[in-house]
Amino acid sequence: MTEQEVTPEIINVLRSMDLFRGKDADELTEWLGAAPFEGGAECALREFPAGERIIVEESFGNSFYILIRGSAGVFLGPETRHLATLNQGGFFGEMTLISGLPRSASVIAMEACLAIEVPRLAFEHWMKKPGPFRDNMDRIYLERGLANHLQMIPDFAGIDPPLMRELARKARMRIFSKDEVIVKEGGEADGFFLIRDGFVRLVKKMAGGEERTVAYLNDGAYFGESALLHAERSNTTVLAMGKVEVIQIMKEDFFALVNRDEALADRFQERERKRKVESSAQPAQTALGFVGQVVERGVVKATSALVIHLDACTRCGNCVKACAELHDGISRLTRHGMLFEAPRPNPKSPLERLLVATSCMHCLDPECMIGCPTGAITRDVNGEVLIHDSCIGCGSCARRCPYGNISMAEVESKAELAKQRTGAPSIGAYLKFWRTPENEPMMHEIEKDNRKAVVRRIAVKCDLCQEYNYNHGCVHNCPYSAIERMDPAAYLQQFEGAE
Amino acid sequence: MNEARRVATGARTSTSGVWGGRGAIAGRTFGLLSVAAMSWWYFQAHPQPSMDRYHVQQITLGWIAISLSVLAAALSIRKRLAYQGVGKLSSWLDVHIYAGIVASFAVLYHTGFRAGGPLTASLLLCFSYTAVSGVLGLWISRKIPPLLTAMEENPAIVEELLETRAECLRGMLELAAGGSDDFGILVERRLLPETASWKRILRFYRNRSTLAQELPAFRKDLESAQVNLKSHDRRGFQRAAEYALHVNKMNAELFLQRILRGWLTLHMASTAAMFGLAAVHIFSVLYY
Repeated sequence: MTEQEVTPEIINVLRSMDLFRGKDADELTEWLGAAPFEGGAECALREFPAGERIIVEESFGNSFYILIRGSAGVFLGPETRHLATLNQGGFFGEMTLISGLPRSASVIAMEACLAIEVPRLAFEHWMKKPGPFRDNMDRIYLERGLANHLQMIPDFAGIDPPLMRELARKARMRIFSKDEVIVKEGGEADGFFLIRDGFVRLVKKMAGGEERTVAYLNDGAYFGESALLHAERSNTTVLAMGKVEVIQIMKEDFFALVNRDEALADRFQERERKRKVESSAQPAQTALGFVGQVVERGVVKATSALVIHLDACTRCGNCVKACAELHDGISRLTRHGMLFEAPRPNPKSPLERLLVATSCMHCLDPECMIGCPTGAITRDVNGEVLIHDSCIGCGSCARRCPYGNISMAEVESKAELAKQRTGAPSIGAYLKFWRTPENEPMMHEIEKDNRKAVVRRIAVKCDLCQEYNYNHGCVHNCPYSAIERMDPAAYLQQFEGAE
Repeated sequence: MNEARRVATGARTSTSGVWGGRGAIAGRTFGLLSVAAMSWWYFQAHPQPSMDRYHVQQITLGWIAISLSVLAAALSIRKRLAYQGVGKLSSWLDVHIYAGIVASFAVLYHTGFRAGGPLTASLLLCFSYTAVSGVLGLWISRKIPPLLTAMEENPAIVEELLETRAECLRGMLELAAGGSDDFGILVERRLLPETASWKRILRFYRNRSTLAQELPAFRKDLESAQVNLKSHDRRGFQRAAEYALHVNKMNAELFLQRILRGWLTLHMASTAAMFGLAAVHIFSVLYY
């Protein structure tokens, strides 16, 4: 936003908010000013007519909004249940930017609105500075996060809103890192846990002392209620399988909740009974092993994993060739990656070998997006992670990606490429793959084929063939239908309840 | 930036389904109906094999056969030149297979079950070879990948297999060069032949086994050969044996990968010859 755009009206609204307490007009103008780097996204004023959806539930956004004029409603679910109304000085959209999770509710303009749209990078920049903005955001994140999460769990759907708010106030948000013990078997049951993000493993000690995984739980699931209800010690150890965010409701608050809503206790018992039936009805031990592998190796965090069915793949390499041909000679996939053995209902060959190829999986919580200095890597509303032209080739995203799915490439400018193109499919000849040392300039001259060319180092990754009017060049060009892009969570549903 | 008008649908996925789908069902239906219709048309008109080479039905069948063959051959253009082409390549393959099957019947009825002169006999031979190599290719593409998958620790392409094979061979020879003369001779006489042993390669195929599964048996086979080696050389020999078996396994995988690619060369060569002869045949029928 330019200085002219930051009007007294905006300054007055911002100064009335707790978030910007103590800030003067100059400071606020600076906060809303130009991005601190060239090509970066800036704060902008947006007008929304009445009835327009400003943010869409379940979408992945990259912005935080502050209402300057007008009012907007917060709505939940397909039946658009009205949760709250936001007026001048109200704000929304911070949950997705902090947690990385999809939008938990829709926000619709109830009358013509004027709002400041703060891009992810500017928001992160503000959050780094100590002060009322960060302190208030942290507090609000906890309150709104807990309330929204509880409302998303069907078993809690019928709880009175005041009770829900009280619970949210008393509950604790806890974050565990990989392999950390959340609950220890035999330990005293001291709380009821709801998984907000991540995966946990339930491990039980068997008669011979051997430890056996009995279940995996993820977002939206809960544990700990059985031991509390039966006044027993915990009968399983619960381990975090990566970064796990849980909401802990303390023992006393849990009993207060159950006492006030008897139907809830019945629902817990029904859920426990169902879990036991599901476990005993699925004897396929390998299914649980497969699910465990998928979870442990992080593939379950993908929203669109590139999977090759090795039993059908003739190793023709057409997928890689097509990808390179469609992306200026640089393939965004390699036929290496993580191998899995998935159970299938075929008595002759009960296991199918799957290769999750090295190609962007468009993670639910993309680590690559953290720390991009220009905000060149973003996520669209569908959750597709994209690298834009403002990439300066620093390599931060490539280093952060836990799966090595982002690579650095040197490309000549597109205009230069177009000039040299002969029409023959030999684009790959103009491009190179080598890495440059970190201290080299990001744009530099190279000598090639007796001529000098300016090359740019950029990060490249699968963009799901966004420029083309069909889905995925690799899938489109596999003659044997051996490769597909799948949502692992949807695929794993067939193994639900497996023991 | 503004997400107001966009609706979230989730990151795009595309499930093509392995060996199935609507394309294959449509192809099968088309193939079956076409062959049935053609057979009915032919046998209704010719209870006995036809002797009339200029019969309108035979000419029509000839044009159907060549049209379907051209349609089937279009797969090659789609595959090599048009990565952004219309339709999935797997659907094109379905069209290729079923057009090829129907074309085979059309050719058969077109010939009236006679080979004719040298030109038509050669054409029929080329067509038959193309059809048979196509069926063989289909069989290969379904049977070899599961075998390869069962054997390989990690999926690799030919270039990687060649590189690994060269590295293992180098490792084995370096070990031999660093050991005693007896050790060197043993590697040369005993292990080098094992690297290309068809007995071992077939064992990998038969057992569908990985290197780790075959190694104990291989070491046992070599036990008697290394009794005279010193303890230091024996350790080296054990490692060299592992290298040798690895080279053998790479050869086993390479052979399968070459079959996967090789049949296509034969199929393409016979297709090219078939189209050449067909052009001459059509020209001779039209002008003479």
